[in-house]
Amino acid sequence: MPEKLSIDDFKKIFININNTIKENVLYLSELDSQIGDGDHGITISRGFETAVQKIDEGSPNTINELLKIAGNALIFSMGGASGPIFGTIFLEMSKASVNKQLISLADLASMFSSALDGVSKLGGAKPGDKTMIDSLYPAAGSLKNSVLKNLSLKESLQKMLAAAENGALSTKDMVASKGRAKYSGERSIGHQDAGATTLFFIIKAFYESV
Amino acid sequence: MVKKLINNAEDIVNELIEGFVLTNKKKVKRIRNLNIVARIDTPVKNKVGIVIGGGAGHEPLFLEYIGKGMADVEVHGQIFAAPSPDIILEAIKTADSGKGVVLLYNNYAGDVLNFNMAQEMARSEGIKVDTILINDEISSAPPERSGERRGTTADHIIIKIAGAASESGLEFDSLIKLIKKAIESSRSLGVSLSACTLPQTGMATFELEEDKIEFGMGLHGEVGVKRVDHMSADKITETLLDLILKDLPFCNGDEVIAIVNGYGSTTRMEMFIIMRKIHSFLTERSISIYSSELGEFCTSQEMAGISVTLIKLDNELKRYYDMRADSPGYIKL
Repeated sequence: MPEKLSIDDFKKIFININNTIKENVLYLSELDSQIGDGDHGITISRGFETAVQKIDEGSPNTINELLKIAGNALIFSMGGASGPIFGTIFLEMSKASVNKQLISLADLASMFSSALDGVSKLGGAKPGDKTMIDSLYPAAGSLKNSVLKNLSLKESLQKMLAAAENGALSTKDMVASKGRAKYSGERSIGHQDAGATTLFFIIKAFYESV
Repeated sequence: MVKKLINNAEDIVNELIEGFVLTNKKKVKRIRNLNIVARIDTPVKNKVGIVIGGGAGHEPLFLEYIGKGMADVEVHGQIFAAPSPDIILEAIKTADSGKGVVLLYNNYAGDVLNFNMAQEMARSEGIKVDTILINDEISSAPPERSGERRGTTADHIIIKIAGAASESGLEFDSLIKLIKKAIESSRSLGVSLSACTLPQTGMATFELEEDKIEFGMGLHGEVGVKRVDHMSADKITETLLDLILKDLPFCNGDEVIAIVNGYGSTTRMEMFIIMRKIHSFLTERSISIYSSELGEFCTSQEMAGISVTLIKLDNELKRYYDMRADSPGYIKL
């Protein structure tokens, strides 16, 4: 297994994200219907379907171009709060990967950190607010740690996946304070956040592609 | 599972817009095949353009409030979801006749994110754009955090005042100031007797027991602040008005517009009974009602319930309120 990710790896990653989301559309919508209006699964699926299409049509030559196409595809096809939020993840990753032909672990860690910063600024969410940040924050932190410990790419992705999964599961007992769910107040306890769950699926696809 | 009159779920928004345009052929037009509709004479010269919009499913809001003396362009998202920035940008360009464009919409996270992105894109193309958020709903945040409040049912009158002022030639900065004043003078609160169902899935957005009502439930089924046993119409009205009056506050001697808005499946019979109580309640407190508005202005699919909105008037707001308006969803002679 290579220690760096190429543009072909990223193409595979998006195809896998799209497939993983498709397999879990009903589950994600069900999560969302408990403390939202139940359209998250359909919306995010539309987003990644469009992203894969646009990447294919756009034939990007560089990784940062590919990520920009994906980010824009999400923003312009999804609508709702999820469009800008999930799209910004990849737009920020794009900015952080300019001039890179291959992505090392250190590069990936910095891309995820940029994504975390960008989304936090955009949506104003912090860890504990019961949003996808609760999955992204530990995932980004895990990668940073792996860089410091000089772990292999595979092991790092594995740890990141575990961190993202725990993050998503931990949202179950939080009170929502952002987005549609925030109007649910205490009633949001006991329900896992759909956005955090989607982020876990995205990272799962990353891990499984490499 | 509630039956609705739709075809394929994914075609709902497109088909509703097609139907709307056909119904109002002489007054509105669609912008290419996008989910954007506009006054038939858009762009109108020498006035600030007004763009309104948000998620579908609340019709007549915002779709039907375009026309002379109302908004210029409306951009429609998916059901209960904000439209994406690219089509909002198209709407901005459609509304722009060189005097600037105001984005006027409800304060929800998704709308803010997408409209802000479009605003940035428009500004970088040299278009003068600014945003005014409608945040009239009092249960969504306490008065000291009113900036977090969501927008609900004052909308059609805010749009009407904005439209009249813009039509009269009020220039950009003054127009924004006026619209903000209108919003700050508005307070709304509703009560729901049922949740609503999403047309795409047929599933309810929320569970509400047969014998219970909920104050402050959101337009998308967001949980409200108080769930109690069903009461008489008069008691419900008193509860709503106590909270609304306290919030601004509305005082002895004030003059208001009183709005009773039906959420979608409440009958006019019920709304008239509510309005009757509003009149006696306000009269007892020496608050005079300049105008009463009753109907479905901002719905939530087939939710049962109503919202009450009071808008405190001064001479300037009255002047614009009195002007003519001609839109599919609201007409003033």
